[in-house]
Amino acid sequence: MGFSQIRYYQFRNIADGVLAFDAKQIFFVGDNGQGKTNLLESFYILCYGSTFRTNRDSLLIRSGMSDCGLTGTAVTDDSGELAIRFALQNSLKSIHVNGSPVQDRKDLIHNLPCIVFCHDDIDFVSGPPERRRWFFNQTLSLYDELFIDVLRRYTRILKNRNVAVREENGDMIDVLDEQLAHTGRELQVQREHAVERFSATFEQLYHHISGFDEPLRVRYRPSWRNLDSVESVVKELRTRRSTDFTMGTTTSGPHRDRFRFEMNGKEFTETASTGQLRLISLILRVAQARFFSGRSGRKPVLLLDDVMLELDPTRRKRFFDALPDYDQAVFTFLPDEQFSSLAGDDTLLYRVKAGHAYGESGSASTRSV
Amino acid sequence: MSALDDLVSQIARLPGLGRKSAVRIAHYLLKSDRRVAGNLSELLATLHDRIHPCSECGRYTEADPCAVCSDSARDRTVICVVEQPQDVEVLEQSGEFHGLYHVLGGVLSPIDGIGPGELRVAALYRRIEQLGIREVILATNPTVEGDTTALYLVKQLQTRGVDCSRLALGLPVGGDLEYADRLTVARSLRGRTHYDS
Ligand SMILES: [Zn+2]
Repeated sequence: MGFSQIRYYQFRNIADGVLAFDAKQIFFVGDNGQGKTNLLESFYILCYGSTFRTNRDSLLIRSGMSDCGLTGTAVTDDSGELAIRFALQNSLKSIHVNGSPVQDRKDLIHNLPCIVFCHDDIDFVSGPPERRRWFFNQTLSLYDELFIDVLRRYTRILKNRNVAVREENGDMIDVLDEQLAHTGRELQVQREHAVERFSATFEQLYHHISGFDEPLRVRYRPSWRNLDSVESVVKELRTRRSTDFTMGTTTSGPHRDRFRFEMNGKEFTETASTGQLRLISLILRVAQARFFSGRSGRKPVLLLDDVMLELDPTRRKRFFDALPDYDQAVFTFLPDEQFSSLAGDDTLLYRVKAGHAYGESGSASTRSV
Repeated sequence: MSALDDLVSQIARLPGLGRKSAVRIAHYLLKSDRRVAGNLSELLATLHDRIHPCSECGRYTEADPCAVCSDSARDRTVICVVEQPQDVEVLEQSGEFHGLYHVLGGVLSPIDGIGPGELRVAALYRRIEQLGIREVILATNPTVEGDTTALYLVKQLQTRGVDCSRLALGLPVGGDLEYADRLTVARSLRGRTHYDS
């Protein structure tokens, strides 16, 4: 069912104390800068052990303080009740689940899968190619635990090869080419299969929510094109070696793969409007969540940060209805948004003001510690 | 810093020990008979004088060459290549391998600036030639760099006409030899895969 409560300690501008979240939908309503996104972020941190908003963990600590902590109680189908504790102390991050330290964040994600919809998601559509790769890497990681291992192996081999390329160390490159080809092919095959299935879901959702007839498809364009064996990739790497020497890096491989949004065979995002780009980014996340649920049979926690603002009421409703079945969903809204029509039977509404969250009845629901 | 703090922080630097265990060990030593600490300190003080890497295989030994290298009953046509001296002990305990060993002292890792010159690779080639080795078993760990090292050596050794095989550790990915139990080691030695030359 997601989180039943979270305890806050010196976390951003949020008042210290415990907030109850025992509802299927949580609405945080407030003006910008009051802390509603900080509250939504706390759910993400407890699921992933990191934030989606910054690379600098120190920003999570209330200014002027040296440490912060979050403790969430979550109920899951397979692991029962989980106490997840996140702490930042002396710039050291620690995560504990039921008292045991978590060494690899990968293990955390599978406790409580969570999917966030946020403003920056538009980068997956209109940003540089690495943002699209990042999105599809994340999708595949949610889909298949082993994918992260393959990706990590590949990245390590690639780093070693780049050093060997800079040193023009032929013997070492011969060896690393075989490893790179082998692991890279594994990544490529997984991406091929995943994108094929992902695209089918995406196309259907786009058609339904946008109401446009022209189909929009996701296409995978691997860097190693028309190479379907490890041997042929090794040969390709051999051919490109002098180029690699000139460029001082590995110029082909899955780290250069492309993902395209194609309408009538053309990259759609080059001509799309901002509204269309936003819609695509939202649908990417819905497809990701569906893709995950379909594969794992598990329901994710959904976090939606201010992302429906740009949709017209019809599309907003269609988008809302297209969300996959979830354990818990957290939404942020501006006070003048039409959110009450989206509330269900099991919705908890908090008004957020200056770091304090007040239950809709008007009474402060933060209990002091 | 007090003498006790100093001891705790020295112990905490040892692999596998956190601060909590270090405190426990320090207090144990203080509470025990002073001979416990005395014996330990004597062992530690003479450690480097008594124990050296074997000049042949590289494992730690008091006699040089070590018991394996000087044992005429061992099969001197097979050599098993491992990363660290402690890997030899794991393989020896399995009782399954009767050939010789060679400790590389690490793995090839361009990112860390470790090439063949930083490892005992030249010594391996010399021993293979001198001993007339026919088969080399590569027992580096199943990590990216362990694989790189194995693959590199295979390419080099095959041009020298040596038969190469890779220890197929039946362990989950990332399972190091150091943590393998006897049965697993025995099984992987028997199930080793040969490289086509
Ligand atoms: Zn020896």
